[in-house]
Amino acid sequence: MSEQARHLLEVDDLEVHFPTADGLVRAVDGLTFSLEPGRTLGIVGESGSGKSVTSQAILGLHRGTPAKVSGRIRFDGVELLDLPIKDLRRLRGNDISMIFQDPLSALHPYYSVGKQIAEAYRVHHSVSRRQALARAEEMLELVGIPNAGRRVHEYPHQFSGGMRQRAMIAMALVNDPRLLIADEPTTALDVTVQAQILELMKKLQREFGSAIIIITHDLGVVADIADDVLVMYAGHAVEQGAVNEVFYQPDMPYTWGLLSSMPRIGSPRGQRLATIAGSPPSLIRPPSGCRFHPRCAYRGLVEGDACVTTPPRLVAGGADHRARCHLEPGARERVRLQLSTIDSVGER
Amino acid sequence: MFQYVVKRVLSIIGMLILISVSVFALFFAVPADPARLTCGKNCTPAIIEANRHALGYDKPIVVQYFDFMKGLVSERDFPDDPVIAKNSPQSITHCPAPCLGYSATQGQLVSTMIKQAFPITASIAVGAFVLWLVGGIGIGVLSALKRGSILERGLVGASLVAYSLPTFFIGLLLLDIVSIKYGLAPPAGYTPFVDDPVAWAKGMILPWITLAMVFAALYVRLTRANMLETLSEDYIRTARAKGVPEWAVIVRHAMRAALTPIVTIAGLDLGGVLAGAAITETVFNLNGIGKTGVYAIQQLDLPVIVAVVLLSAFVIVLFNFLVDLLYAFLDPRVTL
Amino acid sequence: MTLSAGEFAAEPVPTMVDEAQGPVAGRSPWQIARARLRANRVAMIALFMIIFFVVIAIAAPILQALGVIDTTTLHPELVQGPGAMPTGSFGGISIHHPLGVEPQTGRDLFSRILLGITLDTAIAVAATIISVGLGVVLGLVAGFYRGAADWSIGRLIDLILAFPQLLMLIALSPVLVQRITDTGVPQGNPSKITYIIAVLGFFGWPYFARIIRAQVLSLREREFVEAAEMLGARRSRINFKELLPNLWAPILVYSSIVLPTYVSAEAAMSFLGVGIVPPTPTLGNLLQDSVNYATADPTYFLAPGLTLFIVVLAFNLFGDGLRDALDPRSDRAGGK
Ligand SMILES: Nc1ncnc2c1ncn2[C@@H]1O[C@H](COP(=O)(O)OP(=O)(O)O)[C@@H](O)[C@H]1O
Ligand code: SF4
Ligand SMILES: [Mg+2]
Repeated sequence: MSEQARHLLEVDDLEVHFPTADGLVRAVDGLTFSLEPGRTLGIVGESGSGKSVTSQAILGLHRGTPAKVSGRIRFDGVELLDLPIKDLRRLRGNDISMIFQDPLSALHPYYSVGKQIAEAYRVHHSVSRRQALARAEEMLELVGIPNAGRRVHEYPHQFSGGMRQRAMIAMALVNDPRLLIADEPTTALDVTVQAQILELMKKLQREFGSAIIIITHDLGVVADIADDVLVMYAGHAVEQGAVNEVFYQPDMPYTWGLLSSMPRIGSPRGQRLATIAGSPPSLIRPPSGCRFHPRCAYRGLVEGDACVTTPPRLVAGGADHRARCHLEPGARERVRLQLSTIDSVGER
Repeated sequence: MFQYVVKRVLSIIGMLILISVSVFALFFAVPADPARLTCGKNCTPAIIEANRHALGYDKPIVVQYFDFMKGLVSERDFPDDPVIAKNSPQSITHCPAPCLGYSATQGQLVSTMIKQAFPITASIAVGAFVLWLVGGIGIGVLSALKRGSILERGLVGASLVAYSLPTFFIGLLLLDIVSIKYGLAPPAGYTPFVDDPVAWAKGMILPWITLAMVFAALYVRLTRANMLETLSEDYIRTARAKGVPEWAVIVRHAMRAALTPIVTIAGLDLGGVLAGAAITETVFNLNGIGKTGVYAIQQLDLPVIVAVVLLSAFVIVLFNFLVDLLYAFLDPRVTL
Repeated sequence: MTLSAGEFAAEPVPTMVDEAQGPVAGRSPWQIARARLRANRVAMIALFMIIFFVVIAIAAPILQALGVIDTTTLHPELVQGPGAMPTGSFGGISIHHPLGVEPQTGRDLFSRILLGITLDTAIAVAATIISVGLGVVLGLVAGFYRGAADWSIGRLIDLILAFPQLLMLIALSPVLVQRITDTGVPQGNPSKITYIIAVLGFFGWPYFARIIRAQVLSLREREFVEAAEMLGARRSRINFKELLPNLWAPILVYSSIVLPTYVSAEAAMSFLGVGIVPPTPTLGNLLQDSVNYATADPTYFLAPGLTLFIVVLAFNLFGDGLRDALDPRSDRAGGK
């Protein structure tokens, strides 16, 4: 196997900016990550941190909009950003497919669920309408929708939230994609259904060996399903690496905040992240220096005013682990220690 | 569904009764004396009284109302007087059901007048409807797809100009300048379609353009706004993410959703125009329902005013109903 | 089929911060809308035009009183020859008559247009205020009390909208103008002006009422959800202070749509013969008279028409900008 083929997806220095009437929205800035076949990457971060915008950039969905996308996105060695739209369309929904955030608005209200899944199949296979519909029914069955034969003719509004999400998954998987991007596939769902859906995705991954990018703001989901994790804040990757490393050796204050607000064992799963004081910054005029500094409780530990003046770079802290923070390794270690004692005290 | 239709039909009937009562209450309260208008210059009080009696204006208004309503289902005679019927049966006008009354001013049955007027209005309405629907939606879709281009600015600007011009101004401009002064378009006039389709269309071109221009301008704006909103919907992105070719994204996904509400608005507008395009008909001197109504108002010809208003209301209410049925058919989320 | 209770997903609870956060923190929606409006060049030009017309509307009667402009003096010496057409080129333009004079009468056209603007804007503004007033009150009543009140108002709206509006505007004129005179309003134009304001205002309120009602209902829903979360499902009362900011935007936007249509309606009523009659000038009756001279005296024909057009256009352009500023959703359309 050649060196290139090892990475299924390589994203390099991705930037997505939206010119708006109020100014330039820097939704994604300097994002770099890669993904191998059969593995799962979790992207976490608050609402508005640029997760969805990133995933849409991979599929080239910002084309034809005023959005400015730069950097490189290589899929299976092919550069996607300047791929002719015709070739890109051949990949969309076929090699790379996407489960959108809100299935009620992401499904067309005027077409039956079956028709919509069948369309995704017919775009990439020359089969008759009827064959495609049969395939849609098969997919609905696969994702665990009872009475698929009847349900295939129903409309999205007739489905419950969990059913719609399954239908979305069925549509995304109808062409056995090599890369599946799931944008908050479980956010709106009940804990039980959430677990079922994650189980389903794992099973499908085992079966087809696809790579998965799962976007969520639920760290529990990441711990459950992902191999690698990418923490985003205000359009930046602030920490990324193997799940084991990032979760057990978190290296910067934002990740600490996320992790300490993560539900403990014993508390109900699926509970959302609690609040980190303050609100996400403006992406039009992001804070100077470290974008997290207005909310950071630890910037006192950094000498001088580096946090306010100098943007920290993404620096390797372990073999497969990088973080964006001015804190010295020693300081990080001390805080981690402190946090873990507080946690264990809190648990008793 | 069946239950819904029955309920709606009942409510339509109720609505029409309410409308007819209010129309009677409004118009028979006119201070002017309708009987006065029935005789010309050599009028004597005696003739007026005789006419008042002959036309039934001497009866209480409630009785007149019930006479009118009865006429809708059974025949009537004008004047409804057994003495006259016996002495000079030739002076009686027989009015078969559904009888809408008798216009003494015109010396005609109202139903006859309506029967003559409706094909004219329908000719204007249907042709203009096709024109404004095709033009308005076509230009609207185009300007949404060409968003931000000079073409879009031009189209939107032109539609705003057309939208801001009074209808009769457009009509008279077309009539006086385009048709009369430069002879660029055939003069307006009505030839029944069955007699000569070409002459029919020729005579209708200017009214069609006039009426269509105002509506088309509105539809360009509606269509463009709807298309833009639809194109920003998540399900459009889903379609693109599936690899659907762009033409199909626009036609199958965007237009399907964006045009559904437009189609229903179009239904309501068609109903409104079929109820009489008063200005266009007046500009081009075409005796459709609208002009008949306007003329009747100028002459205080009460039976005609009442009939035209009622008929128009009926058409409007009917189209409301049809549009609701159509919408339920077009939008799976709506159940009746 | 059976679904586990879990299939019915709860509303997603916003995490940390609502996604709907404004892009620039610390500014109210109004400030953002104002900034957007200010950045919209076309809307700003339209706004300046509106301000210009409003200044004219206020100044014209004063100038008339001061004798600076003169709408009534006849100048038979300036209209001569067959058809009493203005002497001199371009409809008799001179230093004393910058837009020339009217055919037949020789009255100063410039003065008449200025005063016409006064009347037209006054009528449109007054009618809009009536529509908004009635619509807001009835919409609030329907939305707040729901039940029987809501039902009755809803049926009343259905009834009003079932009438052919333009026809009613003119048909009611002979009936109601007399009534208005009977209440003590001077006969003739004052009564007619009152009538026009009243009918336009009256037929316009249902649209406002629907918008307000919908707004109240959706707000109730939201308030109820929030109250339910905090107090354990006890219904909270909405007070007007909270409601009002949410009503301003739709009222403003819809007023900007309705107002120019009232200006056009005045013209249409003049055209159909129930408008205000000379010597009182309105843009409508000037235009109505001037169309007879479309080819003979183009200055006279174009001046009132263009003025009317520009007034309506300015309001429409500004209305568009206002809508975009208050609801910029369609910004995001596009893609491939
Ligand atoms: N088309 C667009 N135009 C302008 N701003 C946008 C657009 N799409 C997204 N954004 C902004 O980009 C930021 C990131 O959005 P998104 O990726 O959807 O966040 P999330 O991490 O919650 O998925 C948000 O602040 C959002 O408002
Ligand atoms: S760089 Fe400074 S402000 Fe930013 S996260 Fe690290 S300590 Fe906090
Ligand atoms: Mg998102």
